[in-house]
Amino acid sequence: MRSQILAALCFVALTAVGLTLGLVGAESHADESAQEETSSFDIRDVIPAGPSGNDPSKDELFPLQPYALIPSLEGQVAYGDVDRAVELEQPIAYSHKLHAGTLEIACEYCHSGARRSIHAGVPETGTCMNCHKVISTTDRPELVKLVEYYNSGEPIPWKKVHDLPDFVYFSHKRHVRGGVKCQECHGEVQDDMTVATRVNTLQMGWCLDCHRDHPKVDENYGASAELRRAELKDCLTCHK
Amino acid sequence: MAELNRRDFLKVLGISGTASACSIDPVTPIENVLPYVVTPDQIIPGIATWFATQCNGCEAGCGVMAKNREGRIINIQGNPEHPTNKGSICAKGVSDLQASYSPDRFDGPMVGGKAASWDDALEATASAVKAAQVAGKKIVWLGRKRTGATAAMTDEIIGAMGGTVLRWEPLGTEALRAAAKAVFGIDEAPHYALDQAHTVVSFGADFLNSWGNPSHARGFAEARDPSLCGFVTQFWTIEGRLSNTGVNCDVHLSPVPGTEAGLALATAKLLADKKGYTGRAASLIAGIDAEALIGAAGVRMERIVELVDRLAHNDSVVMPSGTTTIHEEAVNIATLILNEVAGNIGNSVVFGPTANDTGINTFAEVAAVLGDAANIGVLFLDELDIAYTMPASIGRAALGQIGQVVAFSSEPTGSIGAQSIVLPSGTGLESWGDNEAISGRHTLQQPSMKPLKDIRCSSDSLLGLAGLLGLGAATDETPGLPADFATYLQGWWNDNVFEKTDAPDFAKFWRNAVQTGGHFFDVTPTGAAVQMTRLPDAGAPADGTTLALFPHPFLYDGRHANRTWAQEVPEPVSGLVWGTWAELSPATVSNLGLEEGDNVTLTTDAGSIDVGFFASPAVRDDVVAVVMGNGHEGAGRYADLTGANPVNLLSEMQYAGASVQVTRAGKNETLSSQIGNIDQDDRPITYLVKAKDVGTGSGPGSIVHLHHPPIDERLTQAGLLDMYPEPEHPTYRFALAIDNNRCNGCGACEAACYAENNIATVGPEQARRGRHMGWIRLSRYWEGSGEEPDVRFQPTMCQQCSHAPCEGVCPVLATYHNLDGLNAMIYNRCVGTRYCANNCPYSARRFNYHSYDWPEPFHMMLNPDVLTRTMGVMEKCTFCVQRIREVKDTYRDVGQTVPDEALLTLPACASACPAEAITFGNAKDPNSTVSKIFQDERAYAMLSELNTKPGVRYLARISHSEVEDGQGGGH
Repeated sequence: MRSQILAALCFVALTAVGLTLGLVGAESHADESAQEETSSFDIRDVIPAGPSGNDPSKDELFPLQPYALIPSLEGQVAYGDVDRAVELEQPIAYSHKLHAGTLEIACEYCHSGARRSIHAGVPETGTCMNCHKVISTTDRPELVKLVEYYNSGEPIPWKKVHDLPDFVYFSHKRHVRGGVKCQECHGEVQDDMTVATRVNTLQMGWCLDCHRDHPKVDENYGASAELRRAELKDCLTCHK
Repeated sequence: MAELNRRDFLKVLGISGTASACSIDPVTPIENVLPYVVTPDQIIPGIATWFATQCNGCEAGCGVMAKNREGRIINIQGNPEHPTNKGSICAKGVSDLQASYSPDRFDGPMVGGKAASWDDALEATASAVKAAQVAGKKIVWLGRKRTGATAAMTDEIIGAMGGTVLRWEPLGTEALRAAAKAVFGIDEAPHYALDQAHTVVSFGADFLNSWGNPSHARGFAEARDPSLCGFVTQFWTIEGRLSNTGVNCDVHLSPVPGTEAGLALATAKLLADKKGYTGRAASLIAGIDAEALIGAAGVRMERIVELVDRLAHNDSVVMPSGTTTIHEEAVNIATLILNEVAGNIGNSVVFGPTANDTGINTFAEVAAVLGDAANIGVLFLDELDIAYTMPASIGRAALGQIGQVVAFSSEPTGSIGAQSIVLPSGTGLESWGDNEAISGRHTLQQPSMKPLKDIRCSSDSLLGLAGLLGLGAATDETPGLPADFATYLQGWWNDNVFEKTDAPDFAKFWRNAVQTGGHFFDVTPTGAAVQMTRLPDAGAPADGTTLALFPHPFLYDGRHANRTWAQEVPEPVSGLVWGTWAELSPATVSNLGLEEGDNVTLTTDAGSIDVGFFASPAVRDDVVAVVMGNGHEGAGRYADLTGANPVNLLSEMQYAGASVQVTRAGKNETLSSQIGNIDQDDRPITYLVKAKDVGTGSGPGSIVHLHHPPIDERLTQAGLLDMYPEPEHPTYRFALAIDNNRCNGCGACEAACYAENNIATVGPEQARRGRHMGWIRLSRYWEGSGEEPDVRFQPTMCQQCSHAPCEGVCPVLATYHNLDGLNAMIYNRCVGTRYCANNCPYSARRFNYHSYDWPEPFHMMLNPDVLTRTMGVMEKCTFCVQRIREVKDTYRDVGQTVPDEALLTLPACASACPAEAITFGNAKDPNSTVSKIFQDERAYAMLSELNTKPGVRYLARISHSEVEDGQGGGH
């Protein structure tokens, strides 16, 4: 036991040193970007030649993604870091509180895929226009923007508030049909949100909290609930 | 092991590690989500919409289903309603999807090498036509095979211009049609029904592959399936090499090139004598000296006697010649006479539901027009690449003299020069169209996605042209031409298809036809009576070493050379990718002192090319067979990349027979083989059973002669054999059954797998480094020799073992056995140790040495249900888990487990397979189809002695060989 813990701690220590060195390297690289470029470490030096034999003229045939060990942090938010899930500035200041709360429009009126598809779907501009053809189209600047988008034929470039990694398979249909309420994941949008904000981490541990023991599993599956719980913990259930 | 388990170790590691690495967060960019402005009726984001349409991969005219996700076609599958392919699709059809997303596509019309507007391009074309009319020069349309309304409209408009319409296929049925005309007076290539034939004899026809029409592969597989027809067909091939079809043979006779016709006639004579045949062909063969002809062919008399005996007693089919046959027409005539004597005409060889070659010209007719190229004012090229597919003395020579070339093409070809006018015609996924490639089978092509480029289908361009030239205007007698082709198409279908049905209402009929992919009449097969009175000359035997070109199974005549899937799926017989090679006999290879990776120079009267080589055990010493398809100039980035064009070795349009010299050249820079060893090296990887044993066994493996004994189940039950507990499969144990006896090695499964699973194509350089990414390897072992080559195909993918050697060695549990029996692979968990691949006895795993990217717009056809893998990640087959997930989800809505019929062809490989050799299902359910196949006497698990308990079972190939112990020896 002791020797194994020692081995683990040694490994940790070495890794920490390695990572620190790596980070220091990365930071100094950023500071002196231009001059350092020629002498900086290029991973292509240690990885075998690319499909076009490092001949840049052939790179467009079988392009490789650029090598990047640590992606740039600029303009990015963290998965699952609630504190940093800022209220993103959206192209139109749409309020869930007004529409879903005050006006009591059902979620699925706009997010019409929720019960049918893996994607709940962001409503087409036409859905907004169903009402806003007749409701205050000229006197409010946000609605003027909406009409402009509609008339231009360009989609509204909403920013994703809930963005899952590409390796995740998530089906709205399965959750909605299983009786999971929208608010369980998306928060009380009708009460709190003038700007849509992520309230949950969307990290795997958070998903598993429910997948381990959601009350709906017993309710829906009865005798086979245990099997269903096992299935819900299978990696392939959610990972592509 | 009690003190510190792996998880605790990792936790200690994690907690301490976090402190030092706390500034690294998992990060993601902010993405936009762009909704529709107005959603199209048919689209729900996240759910695929399927459109029935037609395949344009070759001239067979199959029906396909195009899968549209969020506006882009991401996959093509066979249309189960279509009588030709019945739900299957070949590798050419799958690869044709890449045509729509080719990075080399024209953005819009081009005039004189510069981008132009449609108005300007059509105006330029119209003035060229007017100039030609004024100067009294010819207007010629030269294109691929077109039928139905598409052909009718071309004929109408070009006819009105005073032009000539020529249609020609480089791998068409010309020689067979000519033979049928000579023998029976019917200008049709007959249809061959293989499913009831006890004996199939081929004189070189590549009917399982480059013939395109998958009904032959299906019929051949049915004839080989003892559970369906109670017999196993015996396949004899008589050719100087083994084609992709020929390798499936039981007996291979290799006559002197040029003597095949005589051999067929000698066989007919012996058969007639044996049967006492007195039919209409009796007088034709009366004077034949069978013994002399067989002697001249260099074939053993006993073999022909054996063949005659088989033909005399059972139903048979004699298939015609192939591209590698000299004197094709004479051989075809002889095969038809042999069919007549064997009593096949009207039974297995029929007329009626045959390839509809109305309006298809012979090469002589095309060459006559092109020979007078100086008098051609305007040449409309309909996708045909005459610079590549014709000898330079005809194709290129003509292109240099023609006034104006107007090309209907989506991509550049070698025939499109700087002065050409390009009218991009789009692909079959973007426009309306139709075909009647087989008589009575009217297939519709509907636009299934928005065009990626500024295109008009060739018919619409013609209508625009007709408008500019003042043609086809309405008169008192005729209503004139409509404004667009979609209207013309409906009108033509109304007059030519709807009128022949008893449907009451055209609108309803049309809607139904669009939904089902067309309208299919049953054409009654008929026989034919011999009209021939005198046998033509059978042709002289070849002298010296002769050249024989054969089509690439995926690149075909070269039209798919710019498709990376077609390039990178290994050619099934040689296993080679990226390049052109010559098949040389082992004797030729050793005489020239060739080593692996060498090039050879091939020289004929017409020219010389340098190509790689493949040492084929079955090719004659005096034959050099060269694959077509590569070596393009100006036909796109991938087409131009590798190989040499063997058509440049021809001085006339005869694929076989030219005298050729072979010399050693330098090293080949691009070719590489991807299926490894040609023999099993005495390791029993695939098995054979004898035809006489079939039906005598009583359960799995009972007639498979296992080299290593199968696992005794009692040991397993007593817990003496397995270190690990049996995995639990509460509901499903997904499993695959592959019938090696049905598989003919066509490669459709491999291409379909590439398309479905976003598998990267790596290019020649990476392929040579062993970084080929295909998830299915079509293993090919060449166990026999001489007249009984015994070639065995075995599609090998991840075997989804219950006791998988890969799982135990993964340090991060990225791969594990799940509740459905799948060997799951969680890509984002993988850290790339490659231990799993090292430990996999089936070599089923592929490692990403790079993050392969997709050149725009290839990325638009990626399957959104499957992750694209990045550098450092291991990947492999999981039985198309995304499809399993989808079908389970569908049945969960109604609270059911997935029924057998919804699983049978679920994975991409099983749905594509033209031979229906792959069956998928739930082995947990004892009544499922796959469970029943697992109980077959021929069933075996690959390398079962390793006790990996795979989820894949193979049915052993059935051999007619008399040789005992064909299993590949011992060690």
